[in-house]
Amino acid sequence: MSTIGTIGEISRTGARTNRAAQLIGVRLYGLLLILVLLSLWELSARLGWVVSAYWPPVTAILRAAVGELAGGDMLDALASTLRRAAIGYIVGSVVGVVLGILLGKSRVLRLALLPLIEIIRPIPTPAVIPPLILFLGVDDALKIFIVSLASFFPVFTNTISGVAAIDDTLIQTARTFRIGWLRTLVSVVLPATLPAVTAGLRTATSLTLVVAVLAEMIAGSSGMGYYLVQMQYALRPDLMYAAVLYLAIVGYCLNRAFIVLEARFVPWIGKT
Amino acid sequence: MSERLGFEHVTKVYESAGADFVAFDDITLEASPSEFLAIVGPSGCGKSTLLKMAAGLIPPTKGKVQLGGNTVSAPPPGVIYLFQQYAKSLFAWRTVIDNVMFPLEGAPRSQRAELRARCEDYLRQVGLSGFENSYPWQLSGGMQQRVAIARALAADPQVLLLDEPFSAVDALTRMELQTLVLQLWERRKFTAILVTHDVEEAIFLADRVAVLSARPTSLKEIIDVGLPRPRDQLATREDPRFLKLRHHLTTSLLAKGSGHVVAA
Amino acid sequence: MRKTILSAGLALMGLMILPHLSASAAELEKVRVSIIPINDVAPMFAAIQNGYFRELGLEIDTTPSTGGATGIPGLVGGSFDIAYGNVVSALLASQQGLDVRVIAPGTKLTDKDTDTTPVLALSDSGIKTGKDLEGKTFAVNTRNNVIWLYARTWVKATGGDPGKVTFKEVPFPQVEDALRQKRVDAAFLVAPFSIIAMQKPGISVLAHPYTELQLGVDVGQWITTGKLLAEKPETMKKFVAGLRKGAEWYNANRSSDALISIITGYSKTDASILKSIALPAAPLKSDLDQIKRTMDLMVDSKLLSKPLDLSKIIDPLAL
Repeated sequence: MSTIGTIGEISRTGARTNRAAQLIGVRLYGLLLILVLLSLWELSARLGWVVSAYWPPVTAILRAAVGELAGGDMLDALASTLRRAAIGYIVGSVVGVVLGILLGKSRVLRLALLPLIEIIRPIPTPAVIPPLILFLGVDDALKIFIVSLASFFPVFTNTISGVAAIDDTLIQTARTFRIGWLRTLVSVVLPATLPAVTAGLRTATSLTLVVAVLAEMIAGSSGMGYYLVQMQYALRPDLMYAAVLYLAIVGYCLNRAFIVLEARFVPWIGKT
Repeated sequence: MSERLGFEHVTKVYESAGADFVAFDDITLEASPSEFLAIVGPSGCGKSTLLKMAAGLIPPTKGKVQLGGNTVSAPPPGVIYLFQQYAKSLFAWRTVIDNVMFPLEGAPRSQRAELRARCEDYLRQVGLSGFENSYPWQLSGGMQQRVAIARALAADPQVLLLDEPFSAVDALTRMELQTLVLQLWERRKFTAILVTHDVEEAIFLADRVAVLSARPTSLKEIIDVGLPRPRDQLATREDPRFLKLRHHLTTSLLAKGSGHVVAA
Repeated sequence: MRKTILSAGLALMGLMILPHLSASAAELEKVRVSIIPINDVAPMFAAIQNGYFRELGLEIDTTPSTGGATGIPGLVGGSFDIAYGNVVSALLASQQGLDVRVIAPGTKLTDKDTDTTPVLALSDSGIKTGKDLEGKTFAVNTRNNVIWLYARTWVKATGGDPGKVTFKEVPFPQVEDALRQKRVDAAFLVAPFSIIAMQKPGISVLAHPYTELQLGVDVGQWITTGKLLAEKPETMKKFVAGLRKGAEWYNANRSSDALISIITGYSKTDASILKSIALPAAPLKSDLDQIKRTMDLMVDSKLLSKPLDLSKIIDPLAL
């Protein structure tokens, strides 16, 4: 939304006076553009401009999306994906923060564990799934593990660099007040690292849903990933795009919720 | 409450890239209880290092720091450090009052209300009543240093170490803060050791001024200020003795320099 | 007083749990089966629907896997007791040292009229044979697997050099679009996608490689491991018996609405699409000769370094 506002400012001169009104105007143009594109989509499908079994009209997708609200497999699939994503996200983030702080603080642990972590990091998720099936099976354990792994890395790397970036003055302040190491960790190091951790968590948030769906697409028997592929194979593109639509809505809501929570709980981000 | 703090033959040697680098050599200096001692010296002479040794943050290579009758080996109780970088010393995630409460959080819960009231009073003393629930980053630089001062008061300092605490604020704010620190010092009678490169500030605040030479740093001289108290930003600074001391100290500091610097 | 309420509550909870325990644990044995939700597994779902497994004391817990990528790894990893896969996957797994065993046939192409797996190309492309495809691209779902193997064999059989054809992996649902947008020149496609693709003009059938090259080829297989077979021989025997009964019912009801509603139930494919497909008959027994011919093709195409001992892979249960 802010981007649209900026474009508005650039494209019009003397934007000060009627700025609010103009923003609404620009926003309307933005909506109009989306409507035009959707209409083109609808027409291209209805009039056969695009010959494909996978190009349903927009209205068919919306009908499918609304139809699923009244009862269908999609919402169950969405719930099971969200459950896996949430568990994996929590596990990965907690491990990421804990290891990030420990490794950030301890040179010995850094030397011992960092090479291993750096080796695992660039391996793409789809590549690790088949071998992991041998150890974790194909059920929740596998998908939750993959989501945790994907959430772990941004949280971990941000935490470790956040710990490294803590100003010495802060630690020395705690020392001159004779605060023990545990309390220093909990009430100084941890909150001082929180802005960096939050940045990692935000990256992880946008990743987890994608990775959960991806894992379900490859080794799925339930969830949105499986649903997407199943609908593709069942020649139901309307339901497939409806699922994509729901994923997009959920992803957008998660991001908005994150911004709200961030402002509420970490208001000092970027303020030091 | 205050304590005697003494440096006895303190030497600091850093090892870098195989070569030894002597920061300062054999410094012996003492601040009496309730004395306001200033240490001036050219930049890079290790003034801050000296102060951090007094705080128990850095150990000396040779010699020792004595507080009361004890050798300092770790941050001792009652020795509080006021950092030049006040913004980095305050906890951004805590409100002003919670920052001031920080040194007291080990206290039992039952005393919480009483301690809070006391901290609110410290904030009043530094002129920050009404800002209890603000965050440090919502305040100006001078106000942030006031929070740090109030927090130092909460820790009940016997020795207050001031590491160029006013160098990062504007001139007017600096004078206000100097006056504030003097008032608090006169009221609480802690031992104060100020490190600064500002000769006027040293004379204005201190009872004695110790002058350090450039590297390898050693103690050059100690002068008695002898200006009457309470001191006043205008009257004291216009006192002929003030000007004489300023002349003397500036000359002393410039003596080891390049010789082309024109004194202010 | 409080104690009484507590113990009464616990007793009630116990009563609620007990019947469930006895019903599922004592009466039916759970068999975990990995499936691909396509027409091929219809006989098994027919057996479930008609209660054949239940009669034998089995409860089938199916786990669908769209790509089939998880079937054999999940089997070896202990997630499944039985997995549906194809003959090439089974032989490849065996070559890798995995102790896989075929216990029942899945699909077999014995009739040209019900072969719905054609090689397709755009009608105006001028492509007719494997020779025409040299220097061009050929879409297969997965390289180094059964579709790829028979695509190569067909290219060779029609005068082309498979080494000069670029085989490109395209998932079945995307094949029609890829053909029409000329991103591939030919494709080997299975039902229902092949049926859908041919409903609109512009796409022609070049061949039916399975039935033209190897009539009667065994493609789909029900697979387990030697370890599971040794641990639960009775369970496996019952599964094969139930499945066979399901296959018989399927063969007798191939164009019935009942069968179509079974398939729609697990695959979610629209009934109208299913009605337009002539479903092939389900095999009751594996055919060692056919599997051997497939194995020989795999050796030819260097998928296998040497022939395998099929008697160790195809369990007597399947024969």
